[in-house]
Amino acid sequence: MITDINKSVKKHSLIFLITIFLFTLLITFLSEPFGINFISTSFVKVLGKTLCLCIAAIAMDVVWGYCGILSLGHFAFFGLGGYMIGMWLMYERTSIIVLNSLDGSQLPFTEIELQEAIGNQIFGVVGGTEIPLIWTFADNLYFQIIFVILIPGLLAFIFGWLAFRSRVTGVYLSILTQAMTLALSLYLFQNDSGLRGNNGLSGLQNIPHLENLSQSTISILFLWLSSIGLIFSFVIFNYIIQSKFGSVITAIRDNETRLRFFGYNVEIYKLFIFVITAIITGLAGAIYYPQAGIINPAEIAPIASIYLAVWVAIGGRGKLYGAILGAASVSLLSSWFTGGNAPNIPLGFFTIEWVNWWTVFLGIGFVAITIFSKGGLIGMLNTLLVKIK
Amino acid sequence: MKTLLEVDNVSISFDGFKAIKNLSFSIGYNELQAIIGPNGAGKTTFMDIITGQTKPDNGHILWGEKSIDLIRKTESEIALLGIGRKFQKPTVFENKTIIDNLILSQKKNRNPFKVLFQKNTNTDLISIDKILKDINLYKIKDRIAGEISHGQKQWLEIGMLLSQNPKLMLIDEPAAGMTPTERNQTVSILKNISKSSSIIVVEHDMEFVRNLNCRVTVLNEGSILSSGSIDFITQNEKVIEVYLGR
Repeated sequence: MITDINKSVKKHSLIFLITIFLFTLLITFLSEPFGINFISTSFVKVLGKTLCLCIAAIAMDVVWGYCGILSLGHFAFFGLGGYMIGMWLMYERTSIIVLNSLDGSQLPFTEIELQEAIGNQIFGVVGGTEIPLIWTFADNLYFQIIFVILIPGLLAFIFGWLAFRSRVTGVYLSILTQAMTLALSLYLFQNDSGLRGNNGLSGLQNIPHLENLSQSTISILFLWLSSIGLIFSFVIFNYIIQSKFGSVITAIRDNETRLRFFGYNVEIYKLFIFVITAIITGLAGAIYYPQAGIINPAEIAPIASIYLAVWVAIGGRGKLYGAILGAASVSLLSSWFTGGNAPNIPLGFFTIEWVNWWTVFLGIGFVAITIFSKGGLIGMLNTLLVKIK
Repeated sequence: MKTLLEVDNVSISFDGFKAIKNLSFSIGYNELQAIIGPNGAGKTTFMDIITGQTKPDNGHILWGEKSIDLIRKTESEIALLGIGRKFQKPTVFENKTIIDNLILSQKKNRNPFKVLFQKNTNTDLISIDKILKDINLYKIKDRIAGEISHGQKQWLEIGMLLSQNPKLMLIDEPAAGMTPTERNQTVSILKNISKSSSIIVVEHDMEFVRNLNCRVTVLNEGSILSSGSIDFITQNEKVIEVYLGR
C-alpha cells in the first residue's frame, strides 16, 4: 500500500512537471519573437514572474505546511536574492554605459575616474558618489550569484539558529520572522544602507551583454529560466518530503516534543528546512526581479510575506501543487484586478473599483476557503474528482 | 546486578512546591521495576527528570558503565544514549500509518544529512514486521494511527519504543483504557521486552502491577515510601494508609 501511494505521488509529480514544460513551450509559441505574436511581452513577463512566485510558494509550503513553522518573513529572502543579482545587473550596465560615454574623450581615463563616474551614476540619487563596500564584487556575476545563495542562507541560518535553539515556536516565532523582514525593509529604506534607499535598484530588465536582444526575446529567456527554476525546486522539495526526512519534519509539525524522545535533534531539522527554503526563495527572487525591472525595500515589507502564506493557505498547504495553484491563481487574479482590466461595477450610489476592492474580495475569498475547505483549492478539486468518479 | 541507571539524591521544586524530595533510585540491566503512588506523588515528574524534559534543582543521574551524568544533556541526546519513553496519554503520530510510525522511531543514524538519504533495508523491514506481530498490529499496519483504538495506540507506542531499541524504557500507565484481555496481553509484552532491556513501569492498577511480578517502589509526595516485592509493600502500614486504604 505504501508503494501504491509512492507510485501515485510519482505519477502526479511527473504529470505536473510535464504540464509546466508544455505550458512554457506553449507560451513560447504564442509569443512575439518565437511564435505567432499572440501574447504581449508584458504578459510573458507576468507569467515568468508568477512562476517565480510559485517557487517561493512551494518553499513556504515546505516550511509551513510540512514542517509547521509559520514563517511570515520568507519574502525577505526573496528580496535579498533580487538585491544580490540586481547589484551586478546595475553595476555592469552602468559601467558599460560609462565606458561608452568616455570612449569619445581625448584623454585616457584612470581607474579612479571610472569608479567615480560609475558611483556617481548609481548613487547620485542618494547623494553619494562612492561605491559602498558591499558592492566590492558587484562587477563579477559569479560572485553575485554565490551571494544570491549565501546571503539569504546566512540570514536564515543565524536567525533560525537563535530562534530554534531558544525553542521559540508557534505565534511567537511568526512574530519574530515578521520583525526580521520589517527590520530588513526599514534598514534598506535608509539612504546610507548602500542599496540606494527607497529608490532601490532599477533598470534590471536591461541585461548587460545582451543589449542586442530585444526585451521580448529576453522575456522568453527568463520565462524558461523561471520554469526550469520551478521544476528544479519542485524536484528537490518533492525528494525531501518523500524521503524519511519528510516523515521527520511532518512529525515535527504534529508533535515535536514527542519526536525529541526518539532521539531526533528537532532544532537541527528545523534549521535545515528553514535555510534550504530560504535559499530556494532567494534564487526565485534572483530570477523574478530582472523580469520586474525594479526592486525596492517596499517589496519586502511584512505584507509580502503574509501574502505568501495566504497563497499557500488558499491553494492548500501540505501539497506542493496546492501551493503552486494558490500562488498562480491569486497573483494572476491580483494583477488582473489591480491592473485596471476588471470592469468596475456601478451600484448607482457607489461604484466598486476593483483596484481598491480587490483586497476585500481576496479577504472574503480567503475566509470562505478556510472555512469551507480544509485542504484549500486543491482539497476542493480532489473532493470534486472523487465525486465525479 | 550491575547498575544501568542511578538516580542520586534528586530534588526539584516548582514555585516552592517540592515535587521530588531527595529521591534516590536505581535499576540494573534487563530489570523490570514498577513505580506506584497516588496522584501528585511525582511519578511523571520523575520520568521528566530522567528523560531531560525537566532539569532537577540538585542531584545526579548516572547512566551506564561510564556513569555519564544525564543532567546536562538534552532530550534527544538522552534518547540516543538509550532511554525510551512512553507517555501517560498514548502519543503517536496520528497522521502517519502504523508502519511509518515504527520506521520513524527505528534505531538508526539521526543526522539530518544521513536521514535525507536513508532507505529502508530488508533487515529493517523484517525487524519492523516482527515488532508489528509482537504488538498485535501486523494485520492493520497500513492504517492511519489516528484511527485505531486507544488500547492499540498504547501498543503502537510500546512498539515504537521497541523499534527505537533502547536500553531502558520508561512506561507511563501502559494499561490505561485497556480491556482486561488487553491488559493481560500487555503484561506478557512487557515481560517479554524485559528479557532484553530494562523497564520502569508507572501504573495505578495494583492488579496489573501484581501480574508483572517485579520490584515495586511506592512514591508519595515526592519521596519513596517503601520498596520491595508487591506482597511486602502491600503489608506496609504507611503504604496502606496513603495509597491502598483509599
